[in-house]
Amino acid sequence: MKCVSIKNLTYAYIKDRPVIKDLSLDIEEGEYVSLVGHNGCGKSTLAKLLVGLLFANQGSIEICGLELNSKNINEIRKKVAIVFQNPDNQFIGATVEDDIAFSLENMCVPREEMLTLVPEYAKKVGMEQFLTKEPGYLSGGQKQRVAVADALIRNPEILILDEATSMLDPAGKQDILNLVKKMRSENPNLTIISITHDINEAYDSDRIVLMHEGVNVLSCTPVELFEKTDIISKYNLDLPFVIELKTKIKKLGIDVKESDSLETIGVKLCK
Amino acid sequence: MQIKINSLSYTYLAKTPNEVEALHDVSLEIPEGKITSIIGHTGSGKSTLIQTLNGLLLPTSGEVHVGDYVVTSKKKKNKKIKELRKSLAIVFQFPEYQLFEETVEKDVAFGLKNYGVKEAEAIKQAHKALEEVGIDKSFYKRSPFELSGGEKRRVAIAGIIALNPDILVLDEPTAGLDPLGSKIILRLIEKFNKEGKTIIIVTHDMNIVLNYSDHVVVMNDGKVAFEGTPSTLFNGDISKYSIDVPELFKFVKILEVKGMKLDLSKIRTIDDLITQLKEKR
Ligand SMILES: Nc1ncnc2c1ncn2[C@@H]1O[C@H](COP(=O)(O)OP(=O)(O)O)[C@@H](O)[C@H]1O
Ligand SMILES: Nc1ncnc2c1ncn2[C@@H]1O[C@H](COP(=O)(O)OP(=O)(O)O)[C@@H](O)[C@H]1O
Ligand SMILES: [Mg+2]
Ligand SMILES: [Mg+2]
Repeated sequence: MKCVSIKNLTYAYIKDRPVIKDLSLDIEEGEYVSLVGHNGCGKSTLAKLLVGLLFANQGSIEICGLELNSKNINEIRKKVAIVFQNPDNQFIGATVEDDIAFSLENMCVPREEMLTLVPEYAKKVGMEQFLTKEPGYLSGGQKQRVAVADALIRNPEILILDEATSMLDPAGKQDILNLVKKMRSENPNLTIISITHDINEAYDSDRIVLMHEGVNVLSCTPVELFEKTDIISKYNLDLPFVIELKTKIKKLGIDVKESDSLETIGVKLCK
Repeated sequence: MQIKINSLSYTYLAKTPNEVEALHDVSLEIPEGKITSIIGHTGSGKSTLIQTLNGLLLPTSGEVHVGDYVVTSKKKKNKKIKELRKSLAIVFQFPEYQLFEETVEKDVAFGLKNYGVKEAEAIKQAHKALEEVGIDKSFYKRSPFELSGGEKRRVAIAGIIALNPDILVLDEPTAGLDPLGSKIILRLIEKFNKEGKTIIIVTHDMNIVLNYSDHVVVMNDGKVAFEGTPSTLFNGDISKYSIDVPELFKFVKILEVKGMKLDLSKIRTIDDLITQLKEKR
Protein backbone atom coordinates (compact mmCIF):
# COMPACT_ATOMS: atom_id res chain seq x y z
CA MET A 1 0.00 0.00 0.00
CA LYS A 2 1.20 3.49 -0.82
CA CYS A 3 1.68 5.57 2.28
CA VAL A 4 3.28 8.65 0.79
CA SER A 5 2.36 9.87 -2.66
CA ILE A 6 3.91 13.09 -3.90
CA LYS A 7 2.69 14.42 -7.24
CA ASN A 8 4.31 17.21 -9.26
CA LEU A 9 5.31 19.15 -6.17
CA THR A 10 6.75 22.65 -6.57
CA TYR A 11 7.82 24.97 -3.77
CA ALA A 12 9.61 28.34 -3.71
CA TYR A 13 10.68 30.32 -0.63
CA ILE A 14 11.28 33.28 -2.91
CA LYS A 15 8.93 33.93 -5.80
CA ASP A 16 10.07 32.39 -9.11
CA ARG A 17 13.03 30.64 -7.46
CA PRO A 18 11.66 27.15 -6.78
CA VAL A 19 13.79 24.83 -4.64
CA ILE A 20 11.45 21.86 -5.21
CA LYS A 21 10.65 21.45 -8.88
CA ASP A 22 7.83 19.28 -10.16
CA LEU A 23 8.88 16.45 -7.88
CA SER A 24 6.98 13.16 -7.80
CA LEU A 25 7.67 10.23 -5.50
CA ASP A 26 5.74 7.29 -4.06
CA ILE A 27 6.72 5.46 -0.90
CA GLU A 28 5.22 2.14 0.21
CA GLU A 29 4.07 1.35 3.71
CA GLY A 30 6.92 -0.23 5.67
CA GLU A 31 9.56 0.98 3.24
CA TYR A 32 12.87 2.40 4.47
CA VAL A 33 13.94 5.10 2.03
CA SER A 34 17.15 7.14 2.17
CA LEU A 35 17.06 10.61 0.69
CA VAL A 36 20.50 11.76 -0.45
CA GLY A 37 21.89 14.77 -2.32
CA HIS A 38 24.14 17.82 -1.88
CA ASN A 39 23.68 20.43 0.80
CA GLY A 40 21.01 22.80 -0.49
CA CYS A 41 19.33 20.44 -2.97
CA GLY A 42 16.01 20.67 -1.13
CA LYS A 43 15.91 17.63 1.18
CA SER A 44 14.92 19.49 4.35
CA THR A 45 12.41 21.58 2.41
CA LEU A 46 10.77 18.40 1.13
CA ALA A 47 10.67 17.03 4.68
CA LYS A 48 8.94 20.20 5.92
CA LEU A 49 6.41 19.95 3.10
CA LEU A 50 5.67 16.37 4.12
CA VAL A 51 4.74 17.39 7.66
CA GLY A 52 2.82 20.47 6.59
CA LEU A 53 5.23 23.04 8.00
CA LEU A 54 5.41 24.47 4.50
CA PHE A 55 2.67 24.33 1.90
CA ALA A 56 3.38 23.58 -1.74
CA ASN A 57 2.82 26.15 -4.48
CA GLN A 58 1.78 23.40 -6.87
CA GLY A 59 1.21 19.68 -6.79
CA SER A 60 -0.12 17.45 -4.05
CA ILE A 61 0.92 15.18 -1.20
CA GLU A 62 -1.08 12.26 0.09
CA ILE A 63 -0.18 10.67 3.42
CA CYS A 64 -1.80 7.32 4.28
CA GLY A 65 -4.54 8.05 1.78
CA LEU A 66 -5.28 11.52 3.17
CA GLU A 67 -4.60 14.58 1.08
CA LEU A 68 -2.33 16.99 2.93
CA ASN A 69 -4.37 20.21 3.35
CA SER A 70 -5.39 22.47 6.18
CA LYS A 71 -8.44 20.31 6.88
CA ASN A 72 -6.46 17.07 7.31
CA ILE A 73 -3.29 18.49 8.77
CA ASN A 74 -4.00 17.55 12.40
CA GLU A 75 -4.94 14.02 11.44
CA ILE A 76 -1.75 13.72 9.39
CA ARG A 77 0.51 15.14 12.10
CA LYS A 78 -0.61 12.27 14.34
CA LYS A 79 0.76 9.79 11.82
CA VAL A 80 4.05 11.46 10.96
CA ALA A 81 6.97 12.26 13.27
CA ILE A 82 10.07 14.16 12.24
CA VAL A 83 13.51 14.72 13.74
CA PHE A 84 14.98 17.95 12.39
CA GLN A 85 18.55 18.64 11.39
CA ASN A 86 19.21 21.38 13.94
CA PRO A 87 18.02 20.12 17.34
CA ASP A 88 17.88 23.66 18.76
CA ASN A 89 14.91 24.43 16.57
CA GLN A 90 12.72 21.76 18.07
CA PHE A 91 13.46 21.78 21.77
CA ILE A 92 10.31 23.40 23.13
CA GLY A 93 10.03 22.07 26.68
CA ALA A 94 11.73 23.73 29.64
CA THR A 95 13.39 20.43 30.56
CA VAL A 96 14.07 17.12 28.85
CA GLU A 97 11.04 15.43 30.43
CA ASP A 98 8.80 18.37 29.54
CA ASP A 99 10.01 18.29 26.01
CA ILE A 100 9.35 14.59 25.55
CA ALA A 101 5.93 14.87 27.23
CA PHE A 102 5.10 17.85 25.03
CA SER A 103 5.35 15.74 21.91
CA LEU A 104 2.45 13.62 23.22
CA GLU A 105 0.20 16.66 23.20
CA ASN A 106 -2.90 16.16 21.06
CA MET A 107 -2.21 12.43 21.04
CA CYS A 108 -4.86 11.71 23.71
CA VAL A 109 -2.51 9.83 26.01
CA PRO A 110 -3.78 9.52 29.61
CA ARG A 111 -1.62 11.21 32.20
CA GLU A 112 -0.65 8.02 34.08
CA GLU A 113 0.52 6.45 30.88
CA MET A 114 2.49 9.58 30.04
CA LEU A 115 4.30 9.37 33.38
CA THR A 116 5.63 5.93 32.54
CA LEU A 117 6.19 6.55 28.82
CA VAL A 118 8.41 9.61 29.19
CA PRO A 119 11.15 8.00 31.30
CA GLU A 120 10.89 4.84 29.19
CA TYR A 121 11.65 6.73 25.97
CA ALA A 122 14.32 8.88 27.63
CA LYS A 123 15.99 5.60 28.58
CA LYS A 124 15.74 4.23 25.04
CA VAL A 125 17.85 7.15 23.79
CA GLY A 126 20.23 7.07 26.77
CA MET A 127 18.98 10.31 28.34
CA GLU A 128 17.34 8.95 31.47
CA GLN A 129 19.82 10.76 33.71
CA PHE A 130 18.99 14.12 32.17
CA LEU A 131 15.21 14.19 32.66
CA THR A 132 15.20 17.40 34.67
CA LYS A 133 17.95 19.18 32.73
CA GLU A 134 17.33 22.33 30.72
CA PRO A 135 18.38 22.48 27.06
CA GLY A 136 21.18 24.96 27.87
CA TYR A 137 22.99 22.19 29.72
CA LEU A 138 22.88 19.73 26.83
CA SER A 139 25.30 19.20 23.96
CA GLY A 140 24.07 19.17 20.35
CA GLY A 141 24.24 15.38 20.32
CA GLN A 142 22.22 15.11 23.54
CA LYS A 143 19.51 17.38 22.11
CA GLN A 144 19.42 15.14 19.04
CA ARG A 145 18.80 12.14 21.29
CA VAL A 146 15.91 13.96 22.95
CA ALA A 147 14.50 14.83 19.52
CA VAL A 148 14.58 11.15 18.58
CA ALA A 149 12.69 10.27 21.78
CA ASP A 150 10.14 13.03 20.95
CA ALA A 151 9.51 11.41 17.60
CA LEU A 152 9.45 7.76 18.66
CA ILE A 153 7.18 8.22 21.69
CA ARG A 154 4.42 9.30 19.30
CA ASN A 155 4.49 5.83 17.77
CA PRO A 156 4.25 7.24 14.24
CA GLU A 157 3.33 5.46 11.04
CA ILE A 158 5.93 7.48 9.18
CA LEU A 159 9.23 8.54 10.73
CA ILE A 160 11.29 11.23 9.00
CA LEU A 161 14.91 11.60 10.12
CA ASP A 162 16.63 14.72 8.78
CA GLU A 163 20.35 14.15 9.47
CA ALA A 164 19.19 13.11 12.90
CA THR A 165 22.56 11.78 14.06
CA SER A 166 24.89 14.41 12.56
CA MET A 167 26.09 15.59 15.98
CA LEU A 168 26.57 12.18 17.56
CA ASP A 169 29.79 10.21 17.81
CA PRO A 170 29.95 6.84 15.99
CA ALA A 171 28.82 4.87 19.03
CA GLY A 172 25.94 7.25 19.69
CA LYS A 173 24.93 7.16 16.07
CA GLN A 174 24.92 3.37 16.07
CA ASP A 175 22.75 3.40 19.22
CA ILE A 176 20.14 5.49 17.45
CA LEU A 177 20.27 3.43 14.25
CA ASN A 178 19.86 0.24 16.28
CA LEU A 179 16.93 1.77 18.13
CA VAL A 180 15.21 2.67 14.86
CA LYS A 181 15.92 -0.83 13.53
CA LYS A 182 14.35 -2.32 16.64
CA MET A 183 11.24 -0.13 16.29
CA ARG A 184 10.98 -1.32 12.74
CA SER A 185 11.26 -5.00 13.61
CA GLU A 186 8.53 -4.54 16.23
CA ASN A 187 6.37 -2.71 13.73
CA PRO A 188 7.14 -3.77 10.13
CA ASN A 189 4.59 -1.24 8.85
CA LEU A 190 6.69 1.66 10.09
CA THR A 191 7.79 3.71 7.10
CA ILE A 192 11.14 5.48 7.39
CA ILE A 193 12.41 8.38 5.34
CA SER A 194 15.98 9.11 6.31
CA ILE A 195 17.96 12.08 5.02
CA THR A 196 21.65 11.35 5.32
CA HIS A 197 25.11 12.04 3.91
CA ASP A 198 26.42 8.76 5.26
CA ILE A 199 26.50 6.47 2.29
CA ASN A 200 27.18 3.38 4.39
CA GLU A 201 23.98 4.12 6.28
CA ALA A 202 22.01 4.66 3.04
CA TYR A 203 23.37 1.36 1.77
CA ASP A 204 21.30 -0.39 4.46
CA SER A 205 17.98 1.02 3.28
CA ASP A 206 15.43 -0.51 0.87
CA ARG A 207 15.69 2.33 -1.59
CA ILE A 208 17.77 5.43 -2.22
CA VAL A 209 16.23 8.56 -3.69
CA LEU A 210 18.82 10.93 -5.12
CA MET A 211 17.85 14.60 -5.27
CA HIS A 212 19.59 17.34 -7.20
CA GLU A 213 18.51 20.97 -7.35
CA GLY A 214 14.96 20.22 -6.25
CA VAL A 215 14.45 17.33 -8.63
CA ASN A 216 14.17 13.63 -7.91
CA VAL A 217 16.90 12.38 -10.26
CA LEU A 218 16.90 8.74 -9.44
CA SER A 219 15.16 6.24 -7.22
CA CYS A 220 16.44 2.66 -6.99
CA THR A 221 17.91 0.06 -4.66
CA PRO A 222 21.35 0.78 -3.18
CA VAL A 223 22.88 -2.06 -5.19
CA GLU A 224 21.46 -0.65 -8.43
CA LEU A 225 22.64 2.86 -7.58
CA PHE A 226 26.22 1.89 -6.91
CA GLU A 227 26.43 0.09 -10.25
CA LYS A 228 25.75 3.37 -12.03
CA THR A 229 29.29 4.72 -11.98
CA ASP A 230 28.36 7.65 -14.24
CA ILE A 231 25.75 8.85 -11.70
CA ILE A 232 28.18 8.34 -8.83
CA SER A 233 30.80 10.58 -10.37
CA LYS A 234 28.34 13.11 -11.83
CA TYR A 235 26.75 13.77 -8.43
CA ASN A 236 29.93 13.34 -6.39
CA LEU A 237 28.52 10.53 -4.28
CA ASP A 238 30.75 8.51 -2.01
CA LEU A 239 30.91 4.79 -2.63
CA PRO A 240 30.34 2.46 0.31
CA PHE A 241 33.68 0.96 1.28
CA VAL A 242 32.80 -2.60 0.20
CA ILE A 243 31.67 -1.46 -3.24
CA GLU A 244 34.81 0.61 -3.88
CA LEU A 245 37.01 -2.23 -2.65
CA LYS A 246 35.27 -4.84 -4.83
CA THR A 247 35.44 -2.64 -7.93
CA LYS A 248 39.17 -2.05 -7.49
CA ILE A 249 39.95 -5.68 -6.70
CA LYS A 250 38.01 -6.84 -9.75
CA LYS A 251 40.39 -4.72 -11.82
CA LEU A 252 43.26 -6.88 -10.55
CA GLY A 253 41.63 -9.73 -12.47
CA ILE A 254 40.10 -11.42 -9.44
CA ASP A 255 36.58 -12.81 -9.75
CA VAL A 256 34.65 -10.99 -7.00
CA LYS A 257 30.92 -11.47 -6.64
CA GLU A 258 28.21 -9.13 -5.38
CA SER A 259 27.51 -11.39 -2.42
CA ASP A 260 31.16 -11.94 -1.39
CA SER A 261 31.96 -10.99 2.19
CA LEU A 262 35.28 -9.32 3.07
CA GLU A 263 36.36 -12.73 4.38
CA THR A 264 35.66 -14.40 1.02
CA ILE A 265 37.48 -11.68 -0.91
CA GLY A 266 40.41 -12.21 1.46
CA VAL A 267 40.47 -15.92 0.67
CA LYS A 268 40.40 -15.21 -3.07
CA LEU A 269 43.24 -12.70 -2.79
CA CYS A 270 45.45 -14.97 -0.73
CA LYS A 271 45.11 -17.92 -3.08
CA MET B 1 55.46 26.80 16.88
CA GLN B 2 55.69 23.83 19.13
CA ILE B 3 52.98 22.73 21.53
CA LYS B 4 53.97 21.05 24.75
CA ILE B 5 51.49 20.16 27.45
CA ASN B 6 52.75 19.33 30.94
CA SER B 7 50.62 17.55 33.57
CA LEU B 8 47.54 19.46 32.54
CA SER B 9 44.36 19.01 34.57
CA TYR B 10 41.09 20.84 34.15
CA THR B 11 38.06 20.75 36.43
CA TYR B 12 34.73 22.38 35.57
CA LEU B 13 32.79 23.93 38.46
CA ALA B 14 35.76 23.31 40.74
CA LYS B 15 35.02 23.22 44.46
CA THR B 16 31.28 22.80 43.95
CA PRO B 17 29.28 19.61 44.45
CA ASN B 18 28.93 19.37 40.65
CA GLU B 19 32.62 19.48 39.79
CA VAL B 20 33.78 17.44 36.80
CA GLU B 21 37.43 16.64 36.19
CA ALA B 22 37.47 16.84 32.38
CA LEU B 23 41.26 16.49 31.99
CA HIS B 24 43.52 14.56 34.30
CA ASP B 25 47.32 14.88 34.21
CA VAL B 26 47.62 15.21 30.44
CA SER B 27 51.14 15.43 29.02
CA LEU B 28 51.54 15.67 25.27
CA GLU B 29 53.61 17.06 22.46
CA ILE B 30 51.91 18.05 19.23
CA PRO B 31 54.35 17.81 16.34
CA GLU B 32 55.03 21.09 14.53
CA GLY B 33 54.01 21.37 10.89
CA LYS B 34 52.04 18.12 10.97
CA ILE B 35 48.38 17.13 10.97
CA THR B 36 47.33 15.69 14.34
CA SER B 37 43.90 14.16 14.98
CA ILE B 38 42.37 14.05 18.43
CA ILE B 39 39.79 11.30 18.83
CA GLY B 40 37.83 9.65 21.63
CA HIS B 41 34.21 9.17 22.60
CA THR B 42 31.88 12.00 23.63
CA GLY B 43 32.84 13.45 26.98
CA SER B 44 36.43 12.18 26.85
CA GLY B 45 37.81 15.74 27.09
CA LYS B 46 38.64 16.67 23.49
CA SER B 47 36.90 20.03 23.41
CA THR B 48 38.19 20.94 26.85
CA LEU B 49 41.73 20.07 25.74
CA ILE B 50 41.69 22.27 22.65
CA GLN B 51 40.26 25.21 24.59
CA THR B 52 43.16 25.13 27.02
CA LEU B 53 45.62 25.38 24.14
CA ASN B 54 44.95 29.09 23.67
CA GLY B 55 43.76 29.89 27.15
CA LEU B 56 40.02 29.99 26.47
CA LEU B 57 40.05 27.74 29.52
CA LEU B 58 42.84 28.16 32.05
CA PRO B 59 44.33 24.97 33.48
CA THR B 60 43.36 23.97 37.00
CA SER B 61 46.92 22.72 37.27
CA GLY B 62 49.80 22.10 34.88
CA GLU B 63 50.65 24.19 31.85
CA VAL B 64 50.55 24.50 28.09
CA HIS B 65 53.53 25.84 26.12
CA VAL B 66 52.82 27.14 22.65
CA GLY B 67 56.09 28.48 21.21
CA ASP B 68 57.11 31.11 23.75
CA TYR B 69 53.66 31.49 25.26
CA VAL B 70 52.80 29.70 28.46
CA VAL B 71 49.23 29.14 29.59
CA THR B 72 49.00 28.47 33.33
CA SER B 73 46.42 28.48 36.07
CA LYS B 74 47.51 31.95 37.12
CA LYS B 75 45.40 34.62 35.43
CA LYS B 76 48.00 37.36 35.82
CA LYS B 77 50.66 35.43 33.97
CA ASN B 78 48.52 35.07 30.85
CA LYS B 79 48.97 38.62 29.60
CA LYS B 80 49.73 37.91 26.00
CA ILE B 81 46.71 35.70 25.59
CA LYS B 82 45.14 37.80 22.84
CA GLU B 83 48.29 37.42 20.74
CA LEU B 84 48.31 33.70 21.43
CA ARG B 85 44.72 33.40 20.19
CA LYS B 86 45.84 34.88 16.90
CA SER B 87 48.69 32.35 16.58
CA LEU B 88 46.61 29.40 17.65
CA ALA B 89 43.09 29.82 16.32
CA ILE B 90 40.16 27.49 16.81
CA VAL B 91 37.35 26.75 14.36
CA PHE B 92 34.54 25.46 16.58
CA GLN B 93 31.91 22.87 15.66
CA PHE B 94 29.25 24.11 13.24
CA PRO B 95 30.96 27.53 13.00
CA GLU B 96 28.44 28.63 10.37
CA TYR B 97 25.83 28.97 13.12
CA GLN B 98 27.85 31.95 14.32
CA LEU B 99 27.90 33.94 11.10
CA PHE B 100 25.98 37.16 11.70
CA GLU B 101 27.20 40.11 9.62
CA GLU B 102 25.16 41.35 6.68
CA THR B 103 27.75 40.45 4.06
CA VAL B 104 30.23 37.64 3.64
CA GLU B 105 33.24 39.99 3.49
CA LYS B 106 32.20 41.83 6.67
CA ASP B 107 31.87 38.55 8.51
CA VAL B 108 35.38 37.52 7.57
CA ALA B 109 36.79 40.98 8.38
CA PHE B 110 35.15 41.03 11.82
CA GLY B 111 37.91 39.10 13.62
CA LEU B 112 40.65 41.22 12.07
CA LYS B 113 38.98 44.40 13.22
CA ASN B 114 39.00 42.95 16.72
CA TYR B 115 42.77 42.94 16.42
CA GLY B 116 42.78 46.64 15.51
CA VAL B 117 43.09 46.26 11.74
CA LYS B 118 41.43 49.24 10.02
CA GLU B 119 38.24 48.65 8.00
CA ALA B 120 39.71 49.00 4.49
CA GLU B 121 42.73 46.83 5.27
CA ALA B 122 40.54 44.27 7.04
CA ILE B 123 38.29 43.98 3.99
CA LYS B 124 41.34 43.56 1.77
CA GLN B 125 42.69 40.76 3.95
CA ALA B 126 39.21 39.22 4.13
CA HIS B 127 39.15 39.01 0.33
CA LYS B 128 42.48 37.21 0.38
CA ALA B 129 41.20 34.72 2.97
CA LEU B 130 38.01 34.13 0.97
CA GLU B 131 40.10 33.47 -2.11
CA GLU B 132 42.15 30.97 -0.07
CA VAL B 133 39.04 28.98 0.84
CA GLY B 134 37.70 29.12 -2.71
CA ILE B 135 34.71 31.43 -2.22
CA ASP B 136 33.89 33.21 -5.44
CA LYS B 137 34.05 37.04 -5.65
CA SER B 138 30.37 37.18 -6.55
CA PHE B 139 29.53 36.11 -2.96
CA TYR B 140 31.54 38.82 -1.15
CA LYS B 141 28.72 41.32 -0.89
CA ARG B 142 25.94 38.79 -0.39
CA SER B 143 24.42 37.71 2.88
CA PRO B 144 26.12 34.64 4.38
CA PHE B 145 22.65 33.15 4.84
CA GLU B 146 22.23 32.76 1.09
CA LEU B 147 25.11 30.27 0.92
CA SER B 148 24.97 26.49 1.07
CA GLY B 149 26.05 24.66 4.23
CA GLY B 150 29.49 23.86 2.84
CA GLU B 151 30.02 27.41 1.61
CA LYS B 152 28.98 28.91 4.94
CA ARG B 153 31.48 26.70 6.70
CA ARG B 154 34.24 27.84 4.34
CA VAL B 155 33.33 31.48 5.06
CA ALA B 156 33.59 30.75 8.79
CA ILE B 157 37.00 29.14 8.23
CA ALA B 158 38.09 32.17 6.18
CA GLY B 159 37.35 34.36 9.22
CA ILE B 160 39.93 32.37 11.15
CA ILE B 161 42.45 32.00 8.33
CA ALA B 162 42.37 35.79 7.87
CA LEU B 163 44.15 36.03 11.25
CA ASN B 164 46.98 34.04 9.69
CA PRO B 165 47.49 31.65 12.61
CA ASP B 166 50.51 29.35 12.79
CA ILE B 167 48.37 26.66 14.33
CA LEU B 168 44.85 25.91 13.16
CA VAL B 169 42.58 23.81 15.38
CA LEU B 170 39.30 22.49 13.96
CA ASP B 171 36.54 20.76 15.97
CA GLU B 172 34.67 18.29 13.69
CA PRO B 173 35.27 20.30 10.52
CA THR B 174 33.27 18.02 8.19
CA ALA B 175 30.26 17.20 10.40
CA GLY B 176 27.00 17.63 8.50
CA LEU B 177 28.60 18.31 5.11
CA ASP B 178 27.87 16.36 1.94
CA PRO B 179 30.72 14.20 0.53
CA LEU B 180 31.89 16.88 -1.90
CA GLY B 181 31.71 19.62 0.74
CA SER B 182 33.76 17.42 3.10
CA LYS B 183 36.39 16.76 0.46
CA ILE B 184 36.75 20.46 -0.28
CA ILE B 185 37.29 21.24 3.42
CA LEU B 186 39.82 18.42 3.82
CA ARG B 187 41.76 19.52 0.75
CA LEU B 188 41.84 23.04 2.18
CA ILE B 189 43.20 21.73 5.47
CA GLU B 190 45.88 19.81 3.55
CA LYS B 191 46.76 22.97 1.66
CA PHE B 192 47.13 25.02 4.86
CA ASN B 193 49.35 22.28 6.21
CA LYS B 194 51.55 22.27 3.09
CA GLU B 195 51.91 26.04 3.51
CA GLY B 196 53.48 25.33 6.90
CA LYS B 197 50.62 25.50 9.39
CA THR B 198 50.36 22.98 12.20
CA ILE B 199 46.90 21.41 12.11
CA ILE B 200 44.89 19.82 14.92
CA ILE B 201 41.58 18.15 14.01
CA VAL B 202 39.09 16.85 16.54
CA THR B 203 37.13 14.17 14.73
CA HIS B 204 34.98 11.05 14.95
CA ASP B 205 35.72 10.15 11.35
CA MET B 206 38.33 7.40 11.32
CA ASN B 207 38.89 7.94 7.62
CA ILE B 208 40.17 11.44 8.36
CA VAL B 209 42.54 9.89 10.88
CA LEU B 210 43.73 7.26 8.42
CA ASN B 211 43.80 9.31 5.20
CA TYR B 212 44.96 12.72 6.37
CA SER B 213 46.71 12.57 9.75
CA ASP B 214 50.40 12.15 10.57
CA HIS B 215 49.79 11.80 14.27
CA VAL B 216 46.85 10.76 16.41
CA VAL B 217 45.95 11.28 20.06
CA VAL B 218 43.24 9.15 21.68
CA MET B 219 41.51 10.67 24.69
CA ASN B 220 39.69 8.44 27.17
CA ASP B 221 38.13 9.66 30.42
CA GLY B 222 40.17 12.86 30.45
CA LYS B 223 43.47 11.06 29.96
CA VAL B 224 45.68 10.36 26.97
CA ALA B 225 45.09 6.72 26.08
CA PHE B 226 47.26 6.58 22.96
CA GLU B 227 49.64 8.77 21.03
CA GLY B 228 51.36 7.75 17.80
CA THR B 229 50.80 7.12 14.09
CA PRO B 230 47.40 6.08 12.71
CA SER B 231 48.72 2.75 11.45
CA THR B 232 50.16 1.87 14.87
CA LEU B 233 46.84 2.76 16.45
CA PHE B 234 44.64 0.76 14.10
CA ASN B 235 47.03 -2.15 14.11
CA GLY B 236 46.89 -2.41 17.90
CA ASP B 237 44.06 -3.38 20.20
CA ILE B 238 41.72 -0.42 20.16
CA SER B 239 38.53 -2.10 21.31
CA LYS B 240 39.16 -0.70 24.78
CA TYR B 241 38.83 2.93 23.60
CA SER B 242 35.43 2.37 21.95
CA ILE B 243 36.52 3.77 18.60
CA ASP B 244 35.81 2.24 15.21
CA VAL B 245 38.49 0.57 13.13
CA PRO B 246 38.30 1.94 9.56
CA GLU B 247 36.81 -0.63 7.17
CA LEU B 248 40.05 -0.64 5.21
CA PHE B 249 42.03 -1.73 8.26
CA LYS B 250 39.50 -4.44 9.09
CA PHE B 251 40.08 -5.84 5.63
CA VAL B 252 43.87 -5.51 5.83
CA LYS B 253 43.74 -7.47 9.11
CA ILE B 254 41.80 -10.25 7.39
CA LEU B 255 44.57 -10.44 4.78
CA GLU B 256 47.27 -10.54 7.45
CA VAL B 257 45.55 -13.35 9.34
CA LYS B 258 45.57 -15.31 6.09
CA GLY B 259 49.34 -14.90 5.92
CA MET B 260 49.75 -11.96 3.57
CA LYS B 261 52.65 -9.63 4.42
CA LEU B 262 51.82 -5.96 3.95
CA ASP B 263 53.55 -2.72 4.87
CA LEU B 264 50.82 -1.22 7.05
CA SER B 265 52.59 2.08 7.54
CA LYS B 266 52.04 2.81 3.84
CA ILE B 267 48.34 1.93 3.68
CA ARG B 268 46.05 4.95 4.00
CA THR B 269 43.62 4.37 1.15
CA ILE B 270 42.23 1.46 -0.89
CA ASP B 271 44.56 2.55 -3.70
CA ASP B 272 47.61 2.15 -1.43
CA LEU B 273 46.49 -1.40 -0.67
CA ILE B 274 45.92 -2.15 -4.37
CA THR B 275 49.45 -0.90 -5.14
CA GLN B 276 50.90 -3.38 -2.63
CA LEU B 277 48.69 -6.17 -3.93
CA LYS B 278 49.91 -5.51 -7.47
CA GLU B 279 53.54 -5.76 -6.37
CA LYS B 280 52.78 -9.23 -5.03
CA ARG B 281 51.26 -10.59 -8.22
N1 LIG C 1 13.86 29.77 5.04
C1 LIG C 1 14.43 29.86 3.83
N2 LIG C 1 14.33 31.00 3.08
C2 LIG C 1 14.89 31.09 1.86
N3 LIG C 1 15.60 30.09 1.27
C3 LIG C 1 15.74 28.95 1.97
C4 LIG C 1 15.17 28.77 3.28
N4 LIG C 1 15.46 27.54 3.70
C5 LIG C 1 16.20 26.95 2.73
N5 LIG C 1 16.36 27.80 1.68
C6 LIG C 1 17.06 27.51 0.43
O1 LIG C 1 16.41 26.43 -0.21
C7 LIG C 1 17.34 25.53 -0.80
C8 LIG C 1 17.10 24.12 -0.27
O2 LIG C 1 17.43 24.09 1.10
P1 LIG C 1 17.27 22.79 2.02
O3 LIG C 1 15.95 22.19 1.75
O4 LIG C 1 17.59 23.19 3.40
O5 LIG C 1 18.41 21.86 1.41
P2 LIG C 1 19.10 20.52 2.01
O6 LIG C 1 18.30 20.10 3.20
O7 LIG C 1 19.06 19.54 0.89
O8 LIG C 1 20.51 20.89 2.36
C9 LIG C 1 18.72 26.10 -0.52
O9 LIG C 1 19.16 26.83 -1.62
C10 LIG C 1 18.49 27.00 0.67
O10 LIG C 1 19.43 28.05 0.69
N1 LIG D 1 30.75 23.87 30.65
C1 LIG D 1 30.82 22.69 31.29
N2 LIG D 1 30.42 22.58 32.58
C2 LIG D 1 30.50 21.40 33.24
N3 LIG D 1 30.99 20.26 32.71
C3 LIG D 1 31.41 20.31 31.44
C4 LIG D 1 31.34 21.51 30.65
N4 LIG D 1 31.82 21.26 29.42
C5 LIG D 1 32.17 19.95 29.41
N5 LIG D 1 31.92 19.38 30.62
C6 LIG D 1 32.19 17.97 31.00
O1 LIG D 1 33.58 17.71 30.83
C7 LIG D 1 33.80 16.42 30.28
C8 LIG D 1 34.59 16.55 28.97
O2 LIG D 1 33.80 17.25 28.02
P1 LIG D 1 34.35 17.67 26.59
O3 LIG D 1 35.71 18.23 26.72
O4 LIG D 1 33.29 18.55 25.98
O5 LIG D 1 34.41 16.27 25.84
P2 LIG D 1 34.41 15.91 24.27
O6 LIG D 1 34.71 17.15 23.50
O7 LIG D 1 35.45 14.85 24.14
O8 LIG D 1 33.05 15.37 23.98
C9 LIG D 1 32.42 15.80 30.11
O9 LIG D 1 32.17 15.01 31.25
C10 LIG D 1 31.50 17.00 30.07
O10 LIG D 1 30.21 16.66 30.52
MG1 LIG E 1 18.96 19.82 5.16
MG1 LIG F 1 33.55 18.10 21.89
